[in-house]
Amino acid sequence: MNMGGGVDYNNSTTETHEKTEASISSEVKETVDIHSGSEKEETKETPIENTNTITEPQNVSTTAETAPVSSPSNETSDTTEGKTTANAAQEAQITSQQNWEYEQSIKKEVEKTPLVCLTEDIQKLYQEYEQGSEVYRQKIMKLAERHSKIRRCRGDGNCFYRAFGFAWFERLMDSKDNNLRQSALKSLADTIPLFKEAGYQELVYQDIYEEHIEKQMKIVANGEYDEDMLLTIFQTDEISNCIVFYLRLITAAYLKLHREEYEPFLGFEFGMDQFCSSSVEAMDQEADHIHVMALTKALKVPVEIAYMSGSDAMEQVNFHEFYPDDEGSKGTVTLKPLVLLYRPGHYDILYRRE
Amino acid sequence: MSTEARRRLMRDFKRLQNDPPGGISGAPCPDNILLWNAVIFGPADTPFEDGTFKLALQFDENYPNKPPSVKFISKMFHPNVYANGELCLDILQNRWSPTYDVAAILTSIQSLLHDPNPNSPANAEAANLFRENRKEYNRRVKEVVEHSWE
Repeated sequence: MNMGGGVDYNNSTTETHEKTEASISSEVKETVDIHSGSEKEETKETPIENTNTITEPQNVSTTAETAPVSSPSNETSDTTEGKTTANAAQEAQITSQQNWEYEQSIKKEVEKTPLVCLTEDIQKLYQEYEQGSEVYRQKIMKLAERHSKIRRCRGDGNCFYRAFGFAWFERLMDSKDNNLRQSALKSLADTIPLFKEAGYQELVYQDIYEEHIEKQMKIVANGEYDEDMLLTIFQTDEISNCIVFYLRLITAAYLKLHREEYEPFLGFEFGMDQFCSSSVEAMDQEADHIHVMALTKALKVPVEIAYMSGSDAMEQVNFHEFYPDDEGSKGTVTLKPLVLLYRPGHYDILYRRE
Repeated sequence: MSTEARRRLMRDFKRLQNDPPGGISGAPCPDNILLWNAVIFGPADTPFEDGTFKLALQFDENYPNKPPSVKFISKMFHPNVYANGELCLDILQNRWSPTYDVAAILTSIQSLLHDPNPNSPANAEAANLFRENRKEYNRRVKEVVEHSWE
């Protein structure tokens, strides 16, 4: 690995804080270091993901290891199918093998969480931090005033897209509002010309749209799904990943078509096309602010994200609102915003108290 | 087997025939659409020039959600190619995207030939020579170029 397109865009630094889950993904290697508390900059692309399985609070940060592909920070990052060759240096062999095994063990751990889980009471979230950060506990108590449930998503780098997709479908399913459902179908259909305009070949999106996306949305629109069926769809690798990929493609197409607006957010060394191929279109690559903005605007779906960080500067959980532009959406029916929970490197779905 | 993977591979094949990128060719085996043979011509003005390198691409029913496994059948001497012909290339591993079709995969491999990443070595000897002794590196590459004609 570590060849070709790089993804070290530094525009959006976020805070990394104490958190309860070990945040890891298949990309994080040995750079997991433990801090105690204070804010810390990190490049947001580092694919940190929650596994929801480890309950010791720790602050996990990754930096250079996962960063630039075109100029890798060390020589140890080659892993290919766990195999090294006879003429590779002994040292390289060991490192490569170790990396591979490490990645596999993380992947296995991550895969213990279903792609999308059943809802849990928000108290469960609190319990995660019982041995951990006081700041987090306070924030969760605040959060619990208005939110009753959390639905976790697998920390595989696709969690934003999957959480968005599930929450969107579920919101439409629950709304029973036919206008909303029809306008969602239309937003999806409207993405087709975007792909063409953004320069994608038909073979990339057409089959997926026809076989999965349109079909699933129609079933939602016809009110034929209940929660269990929706969960089954999103827990089935093939369909679930098709939806994730399609949302990635919408995000990428939107960014490409609005490149003047969004390119300034990228690091100097990356053009929009390279950025899209390495961190939007590519599976398992995490979403950042810029991705969220693009997807919500492209589909005209409002999203609110609760940013939970270990910073004690703010007692409240900070909500970021991503509302699509007013222009063009006037007169159209509006959907109640989807609510997601962000903890550094990971997204889950939240449910407001009625 | 997934008909989607089949259908997508047929579309990939059509695209490769109708709009072939320069210096690559590929086709599925007549009796197995999941197994492809491909040829990459060594890019001009590189030590790989004039080489005709054969590759095999093995797809499975998860394509295009998952990448194919790709290996050189022809002998290769390159910092990012293992002795068994397998490649160390990000888009075939952790940067895979279903946006890549067979033409895009082969084009990426072609550009890897003249733009190796010696910091991510699959062949330590080739990586060292590439960095420290370009003349010897070119000579070794020339050997596999000639070998590729056999």
